[in-house]
Amino acid sequence: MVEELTIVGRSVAMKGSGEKVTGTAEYTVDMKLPGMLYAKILRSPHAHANIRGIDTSRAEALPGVRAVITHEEAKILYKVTHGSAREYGIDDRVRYHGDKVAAVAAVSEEVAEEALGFIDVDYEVLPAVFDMEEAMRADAPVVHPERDDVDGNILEHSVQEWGDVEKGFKEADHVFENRFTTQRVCHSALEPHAMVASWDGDGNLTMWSSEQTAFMIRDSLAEAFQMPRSKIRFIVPPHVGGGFGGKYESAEKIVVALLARKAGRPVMLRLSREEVFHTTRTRSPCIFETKTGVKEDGTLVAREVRAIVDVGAYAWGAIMASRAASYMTLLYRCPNIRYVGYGVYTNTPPSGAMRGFTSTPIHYAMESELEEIAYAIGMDPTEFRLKNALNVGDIIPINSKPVTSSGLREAVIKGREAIGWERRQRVPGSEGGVKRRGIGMACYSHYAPMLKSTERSVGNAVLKINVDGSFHLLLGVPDIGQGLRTIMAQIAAEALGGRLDEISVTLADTSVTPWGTTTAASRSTQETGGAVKMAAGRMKGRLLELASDIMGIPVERLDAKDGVVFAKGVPEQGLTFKDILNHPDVFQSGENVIVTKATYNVPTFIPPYGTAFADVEVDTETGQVRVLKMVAASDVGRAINPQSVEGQLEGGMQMGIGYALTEVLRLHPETGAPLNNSFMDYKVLRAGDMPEMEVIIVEPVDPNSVYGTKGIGEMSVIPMAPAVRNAIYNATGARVHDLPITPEVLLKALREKEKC
Amino acid sequence: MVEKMRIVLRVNGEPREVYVEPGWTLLRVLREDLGLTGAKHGCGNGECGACTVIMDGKAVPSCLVLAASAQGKEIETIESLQTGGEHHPLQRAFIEHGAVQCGFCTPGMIMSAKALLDGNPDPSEEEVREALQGNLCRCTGYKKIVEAVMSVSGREG
Ligand code: FES
Ligand code: FES
Repeated sequence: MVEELTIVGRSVAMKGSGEKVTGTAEYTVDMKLPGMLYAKILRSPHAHANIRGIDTSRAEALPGVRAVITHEEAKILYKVTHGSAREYGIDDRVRYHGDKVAAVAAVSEEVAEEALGFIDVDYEVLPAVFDMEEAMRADAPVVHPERDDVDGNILEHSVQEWGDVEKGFKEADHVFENRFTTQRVCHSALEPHAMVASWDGDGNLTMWSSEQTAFMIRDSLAEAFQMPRSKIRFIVPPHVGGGFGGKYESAEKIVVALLARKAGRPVMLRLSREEVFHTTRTRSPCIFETKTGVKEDGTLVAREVRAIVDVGAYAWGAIMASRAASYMTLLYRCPNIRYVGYGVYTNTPPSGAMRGFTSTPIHYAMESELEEIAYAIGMDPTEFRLKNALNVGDIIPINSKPVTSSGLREAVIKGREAIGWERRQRVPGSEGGVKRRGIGMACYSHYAPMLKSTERSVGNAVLKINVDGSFHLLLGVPDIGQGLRTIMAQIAAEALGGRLDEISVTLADTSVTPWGTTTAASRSTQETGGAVKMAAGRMKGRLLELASDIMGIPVERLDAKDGVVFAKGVPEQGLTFKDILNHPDVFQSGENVIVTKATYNVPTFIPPYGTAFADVEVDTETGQVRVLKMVAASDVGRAINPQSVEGQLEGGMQMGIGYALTEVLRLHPETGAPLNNSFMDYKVLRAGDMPEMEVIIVEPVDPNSVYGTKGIGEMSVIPMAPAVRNAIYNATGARVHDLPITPEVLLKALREKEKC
Repeated sequence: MVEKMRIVLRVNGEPREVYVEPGWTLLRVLREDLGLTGAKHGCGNGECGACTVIMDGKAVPSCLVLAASAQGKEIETIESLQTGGEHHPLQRAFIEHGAVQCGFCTPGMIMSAKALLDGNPDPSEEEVREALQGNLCRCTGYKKIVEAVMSVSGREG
């Protein structure tokens, strides 16, 4: 039977937007606690050095300074969920320009800033390495010599293979090889990272922070301070000004908690924009050497990628070096695949998750190569993709499970039409003139939380009813601005037969909400949404039971909608939730206190499939590219809140076009110092820079997921860069390999094309 | 101790007296001294627009305005828009069009849009984009923001 849905699938205004438009929404930086101090961090002016000595006495003597800490107190070694413990404390060795050296808490930011200038540090400057290929050499400076589990700077070395690539390449009629590079970019969420720590007289720690996860951080803090988890309360405030992966376990919290403990006062740290750019995590720069073999008819027979991922000085991002392999298996059928990946330390800003984590860079390489192959063998690039695409029922090699739904074909067909695909140049670059138009496309798939069958993806929810029939929904994951709170309330209202505006949602408070994972990896709608649906279903079941006793009608014949329980077929004679709870029998027995709880284990791996198309104009004299139109056609399973899905996809386009054309965090080649850590020099696209945008939502409702949904938070960013790059290729015939495609990069590619 | 200076400015229609240090910005005074935290600090360099307020009828990044230079000026902040519990049409439009995601850019966006519409009630889409060029948004791709502003201008397609 087809479920009839009334709240899921409807565009509704995001909860909290009333607060945001009036300026009353409270973000972490808007907090003010009595006696609160402000922190500043002294950051290393060297990319690699040992701290031989450090003298803080002059800083401590400054009026208004309340606490100073250095590695002597902050060199906490403990286990963290990901990455390196050293990143979270302060070490006696700095590994990138901007690494933490000391921290000050003072009565104002100005005083704290001034105090930094009075800390005397004796650095033993060490040779540094900034280039990932150089870092792999045996004679390169070693970034983490203390790690005997790491071979030089090679933190990760992954080889993954399906079939026999050597044999595959022998069978191929054509073999293509390329080398692509991608750049370091910054998430650039508009709200800079901020956090507050406060200890009470009994030694309990409370922290508020603009984050994508609460419980994992609480656990890290418990480990660092050797405290029971019950004595630590970690709260992500209800409003977070964007995350995109950049607020996934930010690295200053232990330091701020230490300062607060030492000063005996609450302490707030808010990073400056410059610090956000060069000391918070970034998307790793990568090198991809690709090789693809096809038959004359376009059948893929062998694919090989050798990837090097620059994980920076601290390596949250190292898992990318192995996970990127997955995307060679998710989208297209190919019997022979080999992936070799290296995650390499360098003395550069730390890497981490960023929207389309592990997926966006390798898609750029693979989809760029596939587009060229299609033209080279005389095929329509869309048909070439569809010919090789995995279909429903095909087994996905990475986890040996079948594809259960795919909207790729529909997305490609609709996207083609929306962009005017027939206007592309049949032979790339065949039209002359200074200004040239071209159209390109790219496909993608992504699904991060459960790539391997051994990985788990679990959500929890608690739902409470009030005597007036309204609800509190408690969830352990934060809303980082993308609308999670609204989506969860929609799912609850739908499954419950309740009213959307009578459900309030409390998120990510470790003393209040049930345990939750993270708001990352496009996972929450599935993972937490599944738990919400179950908890709401249980609540409804209980309300129906109570109503059944009161009404004398068997439960099976009852249903609920809009907060009213009624006999099926007779909606006009119902009992409101409030009536039920206030019925004397229910009220007096205490049965009116109902709390339901559910845990949801995501049963299987449900990748979305989609595509992007770009229409560009290239000025071949200046190398300037104007994106005229962008189409994102995405399989989202089912859109719980279509307006919100559109918003995600449109926002992803802004980020994806920036990745293609303008965004790159540049470092000084000799010192590793940041060269463009401001919005003036790091070009994030503005309102006037955006092309016409069209979002097409494809809904091949998946039988295995919650209301058929798929995670979409990261989707639209993934195919953007290759689609833009391929449109440039179509316009000019220039074979660009490096991101971002600045005028210099493009002019160079144009000159190379002229040479051939 | 740095000598503080007394300034008087009109904020949301009311005269306010504050004592400021020479380097303090209008943004700091609004947020820290007057408790008006709707304007946000996104960069402190005049590059993101999150701190936008209207000063004597013009949208300005308040992080670049020295508090001392705001002496005697008329300042409008996001907190003034809602009157009698009713949202301003721009606020309503932002909510209805889904122009708000994380919301960190929203107060600044709305103030830039308001300054535009106060002077030009019927702008073209180009003029709207131009007026918002100083306001970064990392979440929305700007489409729904522009649509929201256009809807208030009565030019919605
Ligand atoms: S904070 Fe003023 S422009 Fe960014
Ligand atoms: S809504 Fe997040 S920056 Fe605009």
